[in-house]
Amino acid sequence: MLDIKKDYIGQECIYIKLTGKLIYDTEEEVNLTFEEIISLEKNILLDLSDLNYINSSGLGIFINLLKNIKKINRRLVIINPGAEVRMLFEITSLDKMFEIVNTIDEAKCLISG
Amino acid sequence: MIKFVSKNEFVFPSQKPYITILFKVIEDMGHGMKKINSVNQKLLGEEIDFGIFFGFGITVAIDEALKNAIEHGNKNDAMKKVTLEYKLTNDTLSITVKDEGEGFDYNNLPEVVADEDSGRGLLLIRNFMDEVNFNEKGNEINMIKYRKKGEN
Repeated sequence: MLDIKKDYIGQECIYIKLTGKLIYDTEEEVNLTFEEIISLEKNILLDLSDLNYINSSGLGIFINLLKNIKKINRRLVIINPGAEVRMLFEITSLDKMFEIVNTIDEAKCLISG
Repeated sequence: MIKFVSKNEFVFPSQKPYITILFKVIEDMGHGMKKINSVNQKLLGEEIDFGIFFGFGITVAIDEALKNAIEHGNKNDAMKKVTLEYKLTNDTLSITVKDEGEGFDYNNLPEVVADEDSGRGLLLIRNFMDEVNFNEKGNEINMIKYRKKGEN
């Protein structure tokens, strides 16, 4: 139901792609993955282009990730959420809290710039 | 044209995996209704957008209502039940979610703060549904979506 892909980009970044639905039975796995990544102390590029469902709990997981990454002075950049997921960010005003870009390249520029 | 009223009620324990199952049940019923609707479209020769009844926004609204009932209403107590009722007609979808909790004061909800966790669900519900009402006790929410807002 949810696929989590992990990749290193250079020395400083980890690229994570979530594909499918972030919902009850997949929350735990995402939480664990995020905890593990935070412990690596790198910037995170979170690709949501193929995430097709999320609810307020899922948004809560992202907020938590953002809080934790700020604590270790790294950045979280969200890449290309689909129209529906993007709509949830906008309704809840989270689009103002997160850095959201359209492509991986933009995200890389943002981090290195 | 075929006029229909489809009413259903589901009662389930306060455990989140049930939400996923209910989604599938509701989705299947939606497919059935869409078939009737496509017949109606041919008979009437006009475009009827039935998709909104089973689209992303409705799914999120039902999801959030069930989640609130389980978490905040029944405090994840599996012995307590959640009731989901819906009534679907050609033009409206009305959904009621009830829990066995103490209810809450829906007139005095704290403002949604961006980095706090609560309140976001209700914000989404209000955004996606045309009407949202609570019973006096606050343990029952009714949400209505009109097929074409403002039309009879």
